[in-house]
Amino acid sequence: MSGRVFARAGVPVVAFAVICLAPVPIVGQSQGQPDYTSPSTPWGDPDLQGMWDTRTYTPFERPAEFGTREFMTPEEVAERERLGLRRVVSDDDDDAIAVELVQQDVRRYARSDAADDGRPGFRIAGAEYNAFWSADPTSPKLSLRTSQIVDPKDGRMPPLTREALAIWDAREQARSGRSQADDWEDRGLSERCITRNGLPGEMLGSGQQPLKEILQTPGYVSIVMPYGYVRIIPVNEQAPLGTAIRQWNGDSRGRWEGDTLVVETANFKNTVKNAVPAHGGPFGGSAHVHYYPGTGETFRLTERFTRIDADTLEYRYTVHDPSVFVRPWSTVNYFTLDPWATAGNQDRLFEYACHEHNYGMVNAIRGARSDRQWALDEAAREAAIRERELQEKRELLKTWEETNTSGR
Amino acid sequence: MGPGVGVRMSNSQRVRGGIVAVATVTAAVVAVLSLSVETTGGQTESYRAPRLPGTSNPDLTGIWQAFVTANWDIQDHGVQPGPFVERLGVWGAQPAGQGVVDGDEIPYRAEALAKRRENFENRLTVDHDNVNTVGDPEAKCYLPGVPRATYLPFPFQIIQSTERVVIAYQFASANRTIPLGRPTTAPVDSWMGWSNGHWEGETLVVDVRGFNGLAWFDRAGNYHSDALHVVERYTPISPYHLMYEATIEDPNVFTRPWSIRMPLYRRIEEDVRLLEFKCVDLAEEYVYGGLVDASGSGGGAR
Repeated sequence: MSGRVFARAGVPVVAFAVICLAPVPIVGQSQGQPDYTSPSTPWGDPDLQGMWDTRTYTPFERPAEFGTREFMTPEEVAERERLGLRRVVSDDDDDAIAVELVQQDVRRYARSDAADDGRPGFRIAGAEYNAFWSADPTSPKLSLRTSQIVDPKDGRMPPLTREALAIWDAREQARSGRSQADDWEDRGLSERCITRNGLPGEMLGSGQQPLKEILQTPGYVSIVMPYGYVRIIPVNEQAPLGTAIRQWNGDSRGRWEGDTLVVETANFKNTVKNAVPAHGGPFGGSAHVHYYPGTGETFRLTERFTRIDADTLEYRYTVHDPSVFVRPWSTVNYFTLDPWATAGNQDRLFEYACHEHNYGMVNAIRGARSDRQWALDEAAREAAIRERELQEKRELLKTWEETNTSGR
Repeated sequence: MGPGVGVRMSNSQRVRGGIVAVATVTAAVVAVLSLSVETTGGQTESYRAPRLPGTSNPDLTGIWQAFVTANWDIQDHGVQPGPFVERLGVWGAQPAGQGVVDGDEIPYRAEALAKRRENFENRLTVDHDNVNTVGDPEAKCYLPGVPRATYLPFPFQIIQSTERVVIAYQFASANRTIPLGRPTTAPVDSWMGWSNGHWEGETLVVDVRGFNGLAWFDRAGNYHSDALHVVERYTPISPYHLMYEATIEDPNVFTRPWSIRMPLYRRIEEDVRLLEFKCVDLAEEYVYGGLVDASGSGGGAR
């Protein structure tokens, strides 16, 4: 990456590059080609292999503006693009790419500042730095869906149970009086390089890590994750793991239902002790609740992978956790076969050595120690944001209980 | 741990089931071997592994593990007490072991030996300003590099598709992808290196370069630089064994190439799985503990 990128980034001319909107393939309404049959591996399983772009620009929960509509119009998709919700580079000139990325980041961070307690600039400190990491050389297909969540019908995550809210309360109690980084456990799982967002959240890509590679061999489907591990899914007769064995990514087992790979995952580790505010989170990292909102121990995840045309993989998941959500809920997303990799430009995912170079953790702990009052104030500010969110969740549950008299 | 007893019993039942299966398959293999006239590149064994469907290549898919003590020291080594013996007893003691280096000699350049001694002396030192250059990376749960990943005391799984091979290691969830097509060049240095594979008869040959030079060979402080070039050979010698050989070249540290060799054993327990050993949370106290305010002003019981 050239110094030019940063030099140009510093030029105070706000010349918003016009994104040339090439016709963009759209999935979501037609559900692929109706007569499409998935190719097969030499041993007769449906072939899901390839380097898949797993990014999505579909909102996780349905924005209020869409009401009960499940799909947007193509015009609404274009408008969202214009607002920079889909960040794409359409010009192969390096400088133009850099300038556009920087401007996109400036816009994105302006929004995040607006949402961040009126402390403009606090989280920005160098948008060009972030643009560098978020370069999107290609774009996934766009979906017309108004939300990833398709069940419940309102496209919103169901309320948390009283049990889950009590755990959340207890977490806040345990954290009160602690600063942002009295020790490493005050930071989140992704900053600690333990998991990125956890499953199923990290099945969806970001600008930084768009790709996942699926490989198959008889009896196994494997997903090379961009976050430093391989999900190995036995699709065979092996017994599941015993309940004493709990893992960050659980224990996944697969089966074929026609052309669909169905994966059931259980044996998740109890993450209560490790849950603190941080980036990421299994459900898209919205607002400031970024951790799995329960113990994880009763969490069962069902995923369904179906190739719906030559370069689209439909990815559905359902979260079952009766101790955390008042009802199960499900999402739909679409993965796109990555044209960059398919054209032979990238033959593997790169190494994700996160913990190995985690000077950020060293500096966070040192920083909190050298100015503990500041670190305490920051922790309190974040706790207040979470308290508002917790209150909102309490109200959601109350409303749900009132309208579902047969509820829990 | 009380509940473990039941688990152990059920495991031993599984192993017994596996042994019966082994005996049956072995009989079949002996029959095949007696008919086989195949010879493979440089190998005295005439074993011919089953093919991966759709290819003419041996199928190496499976969970494998080395049973050597090379992670302590790749050269011959005697029994040594472990660190913190006053607290751990014989947990962590170093067992004696025969080396895995051909001729038991590592041809260090004279000036490179001091660094190995220094590594050994500081193997359990944490330097917060140099977290990834001082001390044994294994203790910190860092990616183990190649070839060390192979002989850590943990299993790994080979996943072979028609186009490529992925090796997933239990330790630290380390992994690497080994494309079998046109070799490509590392775009950036890394802990696990940049692997390109091809088949030479029955042998999977993996050429690995692009290392960042931070990994070690063992707990004894044997090391390399970022000029490391490893050529690995994985050859099936029975349904249950691969022979693993690696040639190591690094002109910054060694005067000539040298080799290691060891068998890898297939884990045949019924239902055996590659489990998680995401060890970061097991290493944090070790890596960051010294930074925390010992006066306890952190407050707040956790």
